[in-house]
Amino acid sequence: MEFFSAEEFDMVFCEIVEAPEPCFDGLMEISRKTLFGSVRRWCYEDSALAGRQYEEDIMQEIQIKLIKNCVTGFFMREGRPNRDAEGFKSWMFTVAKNVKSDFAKKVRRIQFTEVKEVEDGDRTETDGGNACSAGPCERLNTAFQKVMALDIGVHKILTWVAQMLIIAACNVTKIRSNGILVKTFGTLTLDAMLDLIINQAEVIPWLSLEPGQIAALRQKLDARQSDGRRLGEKTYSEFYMKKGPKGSVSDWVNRINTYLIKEDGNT
Amino acid sequence: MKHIDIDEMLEFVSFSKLDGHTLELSRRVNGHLRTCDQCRETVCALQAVYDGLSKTESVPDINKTDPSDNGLSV
Repeated sequence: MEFFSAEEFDMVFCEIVEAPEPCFDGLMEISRKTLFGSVRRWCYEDSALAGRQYEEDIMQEIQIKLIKNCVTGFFMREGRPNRDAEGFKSWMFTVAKNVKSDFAKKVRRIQFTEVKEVEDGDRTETDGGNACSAGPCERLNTAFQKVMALDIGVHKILTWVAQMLIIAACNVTKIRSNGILVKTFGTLTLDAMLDLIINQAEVIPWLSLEPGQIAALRQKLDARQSDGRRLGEKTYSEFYMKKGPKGSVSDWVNRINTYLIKEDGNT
Repeated sequence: MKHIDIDEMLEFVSFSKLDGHTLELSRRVNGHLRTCDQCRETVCALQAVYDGLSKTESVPDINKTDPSDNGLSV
């Protein structure tokens, strides 16, 4: 584990306590150097955080906390300048552990909320159909059929279906699935996206994807665009709006969900 | 000595993203806190309150601000 030297601490002390105007460059540097390895290990060891690539998010929260608290919590805590390098290291670790712990609680809370939603029938998870009850699956399949029949941009339909399949297959939250969706499909054409979706849908027994529905989607993908290409030849990322990949995905899915809720006369 | 405005203190203890504005705010506030016991005490108290609130309250995610957005709520 790499820690900072006495010289590096002196530099940080000067930048924050003695410089005419505080600067946090040194603090950012030594905090990452000192803490990032531990953050990675803590994430690996925590069941709520493992395998979810939260390390950077946590590191950023730690650095924000350090900037906010370095003067009040360490350098001037006793009302006079504190030059204890060893104490500073301990203090940084305490801040980091607290941030990680709060972050993990937040993640657990979100996971708990979403599990509750599943139990309430708002959303379902599946391991291929074995673990979910007929009610939510049936409702989800009904929604699926409605979405497939919608007369909207085919990229939006594919987005909604892909997200549903990702959540079902990977057992992840909706928020997390946005990122997976963008990473998985961002560089693919809509044709390839549909093929992947068809393959994935086959492993979900309660989901019926009829040949007619696939043909209808393929027909939409065959439509010629102004640039001469078929719609299916366009990459998914070409449809992103100004709000960015995740914002676009979220927007398309939310609009469809809102429609479905209204359609259902539900809530 | 000109003390830090309470609104600025609140913004300082509660910001959650580092950008040009919050970095400049941090420079300004921390610069003052180095020499002002009174403001340091107030900011410490605000930080304690804010940290306590963060621990007990669920922080809404920006993707969940739409009340109709319940995941695949169908």
